[in-house]
Amino acid sequence: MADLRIDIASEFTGKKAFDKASSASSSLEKNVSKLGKTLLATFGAAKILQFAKSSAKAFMEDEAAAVKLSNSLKNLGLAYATDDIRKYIDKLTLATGVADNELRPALQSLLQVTGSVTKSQAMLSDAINISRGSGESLSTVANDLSQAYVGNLKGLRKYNLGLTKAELAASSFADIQKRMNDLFSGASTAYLQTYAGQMQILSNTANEAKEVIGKNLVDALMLLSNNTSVSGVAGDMQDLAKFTGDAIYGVGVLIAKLNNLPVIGKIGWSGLLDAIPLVGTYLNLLADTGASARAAQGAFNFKSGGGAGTGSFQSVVDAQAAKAEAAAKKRAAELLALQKKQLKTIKDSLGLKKAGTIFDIQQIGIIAALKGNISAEERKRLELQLAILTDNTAEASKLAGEIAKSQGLSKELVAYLANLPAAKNPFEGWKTYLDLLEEQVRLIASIHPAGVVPNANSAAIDAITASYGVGGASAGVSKGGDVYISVAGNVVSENDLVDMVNNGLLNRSLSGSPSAIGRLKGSFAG
Amino acid sequence: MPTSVQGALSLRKALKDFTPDLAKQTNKELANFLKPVVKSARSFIPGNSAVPSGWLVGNQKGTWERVAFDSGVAKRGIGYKTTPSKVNRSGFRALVSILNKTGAGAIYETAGRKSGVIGNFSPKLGGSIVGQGQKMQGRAMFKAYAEDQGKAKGHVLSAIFNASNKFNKIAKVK
Repeated sequence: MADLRIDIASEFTGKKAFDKASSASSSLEKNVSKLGKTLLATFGAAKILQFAKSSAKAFMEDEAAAVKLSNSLKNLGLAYATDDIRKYIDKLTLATGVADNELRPALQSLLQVTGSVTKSQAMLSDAINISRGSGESLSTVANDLSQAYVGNLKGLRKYNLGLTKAELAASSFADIQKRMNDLFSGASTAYLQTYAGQMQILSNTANEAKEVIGKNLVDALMLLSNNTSVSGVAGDMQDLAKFTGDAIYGVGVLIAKLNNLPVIGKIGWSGLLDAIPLVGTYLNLLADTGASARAAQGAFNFKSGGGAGTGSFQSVVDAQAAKAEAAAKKRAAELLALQKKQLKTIKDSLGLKKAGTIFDIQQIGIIAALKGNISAEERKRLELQLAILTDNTAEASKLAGEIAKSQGLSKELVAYLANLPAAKNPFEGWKTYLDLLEEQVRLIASIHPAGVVPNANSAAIDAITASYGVGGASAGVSKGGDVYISVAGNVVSENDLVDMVNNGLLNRSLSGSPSAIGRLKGSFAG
Repeated sequence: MPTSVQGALSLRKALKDFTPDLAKQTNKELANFLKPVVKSARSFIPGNSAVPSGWLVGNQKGTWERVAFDSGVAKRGIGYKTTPSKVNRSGFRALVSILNKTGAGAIYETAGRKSGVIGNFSPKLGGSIVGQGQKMQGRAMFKAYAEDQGKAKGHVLSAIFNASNKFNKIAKVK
């Protein structure tokens, strides 16, 4: 059963009501679609305007970079190659997917050190491969190569060329270049075959197209607005945005401006007006108009690659190129000689340093210690110190390993000793032994000796037994010393028996036996 | 008719995620505005002796046993909710609601509002049906809401908007 509920604040979140409501709101649908079209138009126009602005901006930035390179070429005496370099960069950017705003600074840095267009172009190609292979940016690679060209090899360490510091210092630029080519050649081609590389090319091409569109847009707007500077055009672009929704008024403005173009007379307004609804045809007309105007100005053509000054000045250009190449070669030779001289100086200084170690007090001390009477481990330690001081890395490593090993053995010994079982106490059993002794002594002390057992007087015994006649009695002595007399035969009276025993005892006492003691004690002592 | 507030659910979620203290405070405020209406609605529920005895718990068997009346249970079944409800057939979700959850409470609330207070049962329930529009009429909850004259609703909406303003101030990127 559903709860009874009062909903105070609710929110529409479901589709069901909308589905039900839509069937009952046909007028709402019509209004919505009408609104949608208006929104689309506005949105579309805004997008186009945004693209136009970004294109113009891209062109302006590109032009600034191109001017910078041109100035640099002029300062280096390579102004003749400006057009060729521009074409080269355009082709290179399309082929490699590297943006021209990256190629220009890289090429500029190479040109500044080499002074040769050919050499710089070759190095730029290598730099692109190295950049793709190592992951470093093109500007970094170009900078490192240009520094290496003049002998500063510090930047090359990051490329892991497999050369030691000494080997790097001793290598010429040609060797280094060869080494880098061996490592990184083909990296750019491999990258471009990947998906990322393909997208890079497309993206780069689109950006280049934007720059061209931007250039043309700026030129067109300058024509339309009779402005001579881009800042004026920017202001008019803002105004154009306001008229975006009003197509008729915008076209009217354009027509009014186009009236000033001389080419309109040839085309005729009837053709133009007929073409207005057909955007494609209109744009083609404008495109042709623009192309003709540009050709007349002699501007750089993206497709055809034409340029001013072709043909008649070629011989002059060739002469200038040859002169520049010769200068570059001379410069390269000078650099190589300088590098060799520096290398020799470094070697000499190393030799001096080594010789100087003879007077190194620390080393003297160690050598003196080694001559002394020392243990094997101490000797090794001293030798290691000496190896470190003399930069003998191989020996140092070997000795360090041996010492570590012995340290390891020492450690094992220490561990072994620590784990030894505790030694037995030699006096451990003494207490028990002494206790036993004490017990024995106590036992001995507690023993009381039994009475002296007198020897039996055999003569007295014989006398007693004889008194009974032969066979009348027998006698003996027990272990305890008791004398027993067995009287055989007759039954006598008590008195007779007593008399007989008395007589026997008397006879014994007369013979000296201690029967008196027995008498006193009241027992028959014998 | 509930007031439709766009973004209330998102606001609630945002408050809960980013400013839990403000979310708690807002919920407390909403509860404070709704409690009087709920209290009033509960006061309109009659005692067991005031309804037909056959309807009471223990006297019913079978189907009606489930919706037998008990005053305490019916009163406790009237409450408020500040959490979002499920989507109804119209596609709306309520952020704040007052509820009458029990069957017996619903019967007492709505008996006779469509067909009229006639017959053997609804006239014996007592009370009066108050409210605007058939679906907002009743003897307890709807009556209390109608007598509140929209004050609670106004306060609830204010609380939501205030929370939104506070949250936007806090969340403003400086």
